[in-house]
Amino acid sequence: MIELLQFEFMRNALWAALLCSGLCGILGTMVVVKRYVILAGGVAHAAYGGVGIALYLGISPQLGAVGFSLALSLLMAWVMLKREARADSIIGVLWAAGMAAGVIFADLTPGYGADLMSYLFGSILAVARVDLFMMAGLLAATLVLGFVWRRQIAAFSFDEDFARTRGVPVTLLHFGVVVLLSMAVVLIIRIVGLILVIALLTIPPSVAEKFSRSLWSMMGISCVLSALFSLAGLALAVYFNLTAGAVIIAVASAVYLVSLAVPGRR
Amino acid sequence: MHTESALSFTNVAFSYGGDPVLRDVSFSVPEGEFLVIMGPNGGGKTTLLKLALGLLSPDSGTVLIHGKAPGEDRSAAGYVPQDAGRNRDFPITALEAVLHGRLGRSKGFFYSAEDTTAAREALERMGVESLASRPMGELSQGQRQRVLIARALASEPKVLLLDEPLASIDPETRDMLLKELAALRARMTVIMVSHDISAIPGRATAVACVNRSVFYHDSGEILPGMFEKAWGTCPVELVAHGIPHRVLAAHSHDHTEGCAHD
Repeated sequence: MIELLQFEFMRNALWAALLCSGLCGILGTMVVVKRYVILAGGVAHAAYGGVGIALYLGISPQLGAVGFSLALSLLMAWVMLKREARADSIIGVLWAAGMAAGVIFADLTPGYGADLMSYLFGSILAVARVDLFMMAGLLAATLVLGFVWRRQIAAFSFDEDFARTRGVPVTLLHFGVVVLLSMAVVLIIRIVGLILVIALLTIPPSVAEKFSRSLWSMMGISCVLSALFSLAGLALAVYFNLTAGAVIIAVASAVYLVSLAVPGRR
Repeated sequence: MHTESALSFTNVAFSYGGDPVLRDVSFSVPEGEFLVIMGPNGGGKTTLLKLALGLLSPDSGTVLIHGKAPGEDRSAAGYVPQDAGRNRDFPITALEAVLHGRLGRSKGFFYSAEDTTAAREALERMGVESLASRPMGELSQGQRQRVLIARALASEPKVLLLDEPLASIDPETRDMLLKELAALRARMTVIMVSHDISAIPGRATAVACVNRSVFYHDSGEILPGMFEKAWGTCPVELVAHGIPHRVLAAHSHDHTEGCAHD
């Protein structure tokens, strides 16, 4: 197995898995504690709309995905902020509409056979260096912003109303987290696919929460778990010649089920 | 120079999605009061508190807390929100939760030694200093409530605003908590939303009945015999305006309007 590392595509896959884990561990913790799961799912699906529109217009699919996801995620974040009673339904509609737009525009694009499968499961073994650099950049930005605002983020996550009375810029933090999250989702989708990004955002923090005493330890444990799931899944996938994304999810889900039976120890 | 009021509402109206929640609200709470805000569900009690904190803005009228707009002076108000057990799994220790009360006071990049001292003192005042390093999720309802009050105290407020702090707490803890809140009056104005009529006698110095309008009584005297009758029908009518009338002076408002059951 070690000899596989002499191939660049394998080394890139490992780096991609580790960078994904960092982003998912930190932002996934926010997704779980702030109950942004539906928003993350919405952004991930809506990203496909951006890909379809970009193909139709003949611009870079990555650019289309970033632009479209960012616009829709800001709209979703605004709906959530207004405490709209039906916020989850509205996000559900945007989620479906975004995906449908992607399929329709891909259909309308001459000569393009819509490759929905690679969008669903990604292609971690075909990661380009530029993707790695973009993920590393986003991770660095997340770490710096998260460190600078850590006290405000903790207060905002624990109790939004109280944080507001203490002068914490709750609205700014809400939109800030959503923007970082949607950027991360778009970048990670290319590598591990739509389904795995939602799994990696939610499963490791859900396991970590039981064993954490602070938001920061929850983030740290999530990053480590995410990396372990990814590396173990990748190794098993290569060994048994299975689809990497699906094996990573299988490993994560199995650990999640086991963790439900283990009593929390804080 | 007259003493400034801790909290004042002047001709305040607020509606939510087109439905009027509060209208024509005017009252003024002098410093050092222990005000209990009562009224039926949906009558606007929590809305009143959120307007005082600046979490909501009135459609019209003015809200002032120690002479300033809510939110302008971060040291004016300390908020104890209703704790319905939401976010119970959130990973945070009691001490860290209380430190959040220091935000807006300490401008630095880290919590200072002074912040930590203030947080520990606040925990101590609420009798829960031994729980400082325990996760919030492991605490009982009463312990959590004390920590949340300590969090508000850590911001060293002039006015403490509490939303249903006695809800879902056992009677023994409830009585102790009430006593401690009453003791805080020496240092700050205490304003508490409560369903619990028995919180008033001997503790409250003023009572406000909220049902779309606000009826403010600058006296906490209510006969104990009235409480049994009070629930089940409009508490505003029975507690504050019931017979005998020597308990409280009659309103200048038309109170049938204030107690409209709709």
